Amino acid sequence: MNRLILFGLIASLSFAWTGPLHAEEPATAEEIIAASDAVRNPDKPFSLKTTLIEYRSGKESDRMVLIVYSKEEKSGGQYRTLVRFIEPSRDENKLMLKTGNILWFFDPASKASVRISPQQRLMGQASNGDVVTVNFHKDYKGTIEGVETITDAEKNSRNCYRVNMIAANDSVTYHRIEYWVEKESYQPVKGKFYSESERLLKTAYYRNYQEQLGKRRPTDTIIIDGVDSKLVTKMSFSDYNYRDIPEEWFQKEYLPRFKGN
Amino acid sequence: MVMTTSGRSLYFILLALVLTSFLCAASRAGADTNLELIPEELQSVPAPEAGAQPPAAPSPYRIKVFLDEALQGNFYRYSLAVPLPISDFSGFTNRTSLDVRAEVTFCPALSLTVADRLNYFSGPNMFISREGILNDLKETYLTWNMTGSYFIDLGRINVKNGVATGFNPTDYFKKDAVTAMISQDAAVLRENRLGTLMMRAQGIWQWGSLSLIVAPEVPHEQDRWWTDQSGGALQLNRTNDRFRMLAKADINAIQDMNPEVLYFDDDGRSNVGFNLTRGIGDNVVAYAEWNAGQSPDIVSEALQDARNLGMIPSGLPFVIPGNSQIRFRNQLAAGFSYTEKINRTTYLEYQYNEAGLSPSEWNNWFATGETAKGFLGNPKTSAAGKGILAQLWAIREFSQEAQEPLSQHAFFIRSFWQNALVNKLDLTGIFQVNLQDGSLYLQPLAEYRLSNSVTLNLAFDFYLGAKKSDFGSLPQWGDIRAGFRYYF
Repeated sequence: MNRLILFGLIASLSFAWTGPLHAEEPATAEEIIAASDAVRNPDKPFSLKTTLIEYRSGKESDRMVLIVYSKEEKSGGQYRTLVRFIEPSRDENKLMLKTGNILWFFDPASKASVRISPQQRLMGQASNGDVVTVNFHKDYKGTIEGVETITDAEKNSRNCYRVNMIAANDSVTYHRIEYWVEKESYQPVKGKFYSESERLLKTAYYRNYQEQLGKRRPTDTIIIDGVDSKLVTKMSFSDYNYRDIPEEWFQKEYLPRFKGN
Repeated sequence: MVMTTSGRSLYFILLALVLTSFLCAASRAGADTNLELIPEELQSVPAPEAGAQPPAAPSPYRIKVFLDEALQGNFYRYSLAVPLPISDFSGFTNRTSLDVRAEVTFCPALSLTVADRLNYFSGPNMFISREGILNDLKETYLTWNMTGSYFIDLGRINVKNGVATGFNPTDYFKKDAVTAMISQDAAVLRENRLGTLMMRAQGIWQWGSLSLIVAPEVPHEQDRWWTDQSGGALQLNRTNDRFRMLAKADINAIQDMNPEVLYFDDDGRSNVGFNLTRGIGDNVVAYAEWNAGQSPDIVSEALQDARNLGMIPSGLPFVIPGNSQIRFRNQLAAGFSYTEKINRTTYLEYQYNEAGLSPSEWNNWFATGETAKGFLGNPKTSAAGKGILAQLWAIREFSQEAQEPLSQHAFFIRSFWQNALVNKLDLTGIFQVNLQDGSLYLQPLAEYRLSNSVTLNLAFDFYLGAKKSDFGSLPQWGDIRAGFRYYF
């Protein structure tokens, strides 16, 4: 009898436990990350408008509007990104260029291009890595930790892979990412971003999926600061467009000449 | 059927496990506590927007206008080791500036850039000798985009070179370009300087870029529309007093180094420059900027410059001999920036100017000044004393207008902390120390972003040191400056 009870309870436990992926699951962690990258990032050079709104204790405290131009490198497959500041007016027409781990900041007032470190933030609490386009599968090694049903930022239950991603090189903003990707659609739902010392830096929710450039893509990311949880940033993405972006746009010397809209 | 005690224990343990696992599963599925941290305003998801809008055509106009107001209280030393020949400084000074930058694209291949600053100065101080309404036409140039990434620019252009922060040895067009030293912060001065009349050809490729600049000498005629110092004159005599040519290669092929090589012909004097940056980890950027240029030392250069401007009569000897031998002299600015997690970035920079004053030359400067000071008391020798002092202070003024350290060795720190202590408050600290005499310049600056259009600022400047030291010998020991900037 005891054996029967034991068997029954273990069966119940297995049922309730949403843990390790079954052997028949076809997707590898790399495939899941790459597929979710393809959800976030269009497959050809593109531009989009990013509106960052910062909330402190639930109240809007800062707002910034950027135009982001992105193009994959021919070799390596990582994105190069040129960011043009639109608002506020004091920052209008300033530029940030990211190629690999090299960042330049250009201010038309001083005509100076200044090299900045990846950690230097130009956009309030959002890191440069949050604003630029990134293919996670190029910079992280992932392992599938399990399949879980989680609640997304729109209060819907989503059945997700939980993927643990560890940085494969030094050029990344976050050392480790816990990443929830919906099983059916490979849509990223949630991410927890950690420093090298395993400190939670931020939690991000991807939401408001809309049809953009041939795919349903998240048009909002809600970022909750890992240290000060009263600090929340909403990043909204709009005006997605495929663009013919010349290679020269990603040269430091081109920054004073940039006029793109 | 009777269950044994051990069987009952096992049953309860397993039951507890089942309940726990169900609770955990429920927690994972439904109770993400982070979601409660999302502000109420963001709880509802906005309605989907219409499909993507096609990218708007680039606007033919881009304009940025701001108003800058600064009221300054100046504090002076009563006793100077080397007095000034003339000093009619004000306790309070005020500056109101309207700054406009506009770009007009006539067609895809042709555009016009204009940058202008209209100033109203009241009350001269140690660094701003101008008064009344003065206009600085900083830039006016046409750009012809011939094809792809080949460009020709023609007109008055503000060309800035160099990767260092406090001193830029390869920023060849900086000399005399700042018409009013409204701050000692090199970053502020770069926004406030006159461009040089020039023609620039530039090609930009994936591997880097090549630039060639030719800046002509304008006729040295006094009080003409292009040389007049007053009102709305172009002041080209400041920026184009001699022929200059610059060739520059920017190379991207070397990963993470971004070297720049420059050759500058300064009216027959050759200069070779080099810039380098290198990232170290994700929070450090190291940089080095070096120039070797044919020149005399700063004393000879400054006094000859003063003579050319008519400040020293041609028959009068120079009061300090200096070294007039023209040979390659080195200038270097090398350091690194360090960014902390709190988003505070600090630059630490060593500065070397081989042509600058050595400790013995500083001693000579003060000794000559003391001699001149002794002449002032006697009506027969007073004029001679003032003449000597004029020469001595011409050296100081030259260094300031050339934006080069007066001493050979200096150390510079600039720290910028965004959202410091409270949201929207930015703090900047600047620290420049003369490594030869230990005197220093210090500037704490606070800026508060009141709104998207208005920034309030409060700054202090301190020039500290022994009486016979670089910063300790300046007539002004400090000032306090308060103001605002309004973006239209």
